[in-house]
Amino acid sequence: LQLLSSTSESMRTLELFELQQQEGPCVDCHVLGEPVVIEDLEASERWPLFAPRALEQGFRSVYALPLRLRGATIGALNLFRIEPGAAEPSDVRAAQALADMATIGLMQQRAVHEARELAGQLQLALHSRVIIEQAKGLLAERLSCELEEAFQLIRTYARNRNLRLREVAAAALAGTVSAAELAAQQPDGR
Amino acid sequence: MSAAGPTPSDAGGDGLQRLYSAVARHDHGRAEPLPRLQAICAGALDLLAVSGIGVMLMAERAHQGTLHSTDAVIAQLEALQNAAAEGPCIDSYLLGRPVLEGDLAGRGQRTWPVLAAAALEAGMAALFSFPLQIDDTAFGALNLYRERPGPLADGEIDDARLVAAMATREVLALQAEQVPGSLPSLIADLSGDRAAIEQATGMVAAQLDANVVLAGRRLREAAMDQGRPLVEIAHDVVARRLRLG
Repeated sequence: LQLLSSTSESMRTLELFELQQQEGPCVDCHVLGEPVVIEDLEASERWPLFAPRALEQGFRSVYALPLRLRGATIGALNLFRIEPGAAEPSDVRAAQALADMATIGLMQQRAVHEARELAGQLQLALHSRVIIEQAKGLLAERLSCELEEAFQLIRTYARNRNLRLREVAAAALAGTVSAAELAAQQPDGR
Repeated sequence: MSAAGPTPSDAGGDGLQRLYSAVARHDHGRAEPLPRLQAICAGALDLLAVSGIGVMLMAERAHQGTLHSTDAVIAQLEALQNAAAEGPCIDSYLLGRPVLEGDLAGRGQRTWPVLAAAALEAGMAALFSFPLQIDDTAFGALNLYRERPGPLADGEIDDARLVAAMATREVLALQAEQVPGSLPSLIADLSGDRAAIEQATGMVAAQLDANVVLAGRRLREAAMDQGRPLVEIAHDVVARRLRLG
């Protein structure tokens, strides 16, 4: 479990979330996939670490609502109340709606992040193919060899120096690594 | 072209719903990226008053393969734009925004003289390109053409943006199946022609002792001079039947 957002900036409140790495309504809710409700923390012995600290902060009751996604629980929404007793059912329903919205927000954030990564990977892979094919052509012509041999030279050079294929290809195109240098590194000669 | 006579959308949410329904009529329950992409294009074709749609990958100011085209006319666009080294899809990809030309014979001729002439001859009178991108990371373009000139309606532009967004998602789904750094085999296999053009570019660069930009230009000039497709010239260079030094 990881704290993603809190309405209170106080370090001591945040500590309540931190503490729930070990025990507390959030952990139980996440594991059970069910809402966890403690109407009075003073009367509860469920969490010997968590309860005294929450009470110290002035909280008497706590709700943890699951963030659900297609049957899986991906997190929990914690609500603290300073009063003991049950919250109104309408409040609980509103809180679960809030939890569902938080889930959508989380998933969107994850999806956007993932899409950015994938777009970057695809862009780079397309770009790499262009310069690798160009470098193959350049070297094949300079060395009067086959394209496949030129590719092997690029690959050997990249492996020996722990470089990426596209880095060697770009260097060959820019002339910072010469065809002669690439040909010379072939252990079996050519 | 639509048989149902759709009305232009007035709200984004509406457009999305109509697009989803249109796509659902074509997807036959298939969830894999390529069939989805085909269904998205087919659905978009029902919804928009355009003649054909193509999904193209781009890099380095050039087309890198056509993932899907709804007809033989739009399927030629990649070769035409690569031979001309200009066109709305290249601009759209580079600028990261839609590039819309409802009249290739008019204003389009002035913007892209070589491409416009070739596209008109191939049967495209209007071309509309929307980038495939996430934020500013672009990797392709969605292209729509019309046999007859005329702009896209505002609602159609909104719908086409949604189509591009849906297509973007499916292309990224293909990439998601890959190890980072490698191209989906589907994409890698798309264009043996493209590989030949890049290899020929490198060979001509060595022959001219020039950079690849000049080499690319020399290749295109040779294609134009000989009145042959760029791809053919490239294959001749790679097979060492032709030197351009």
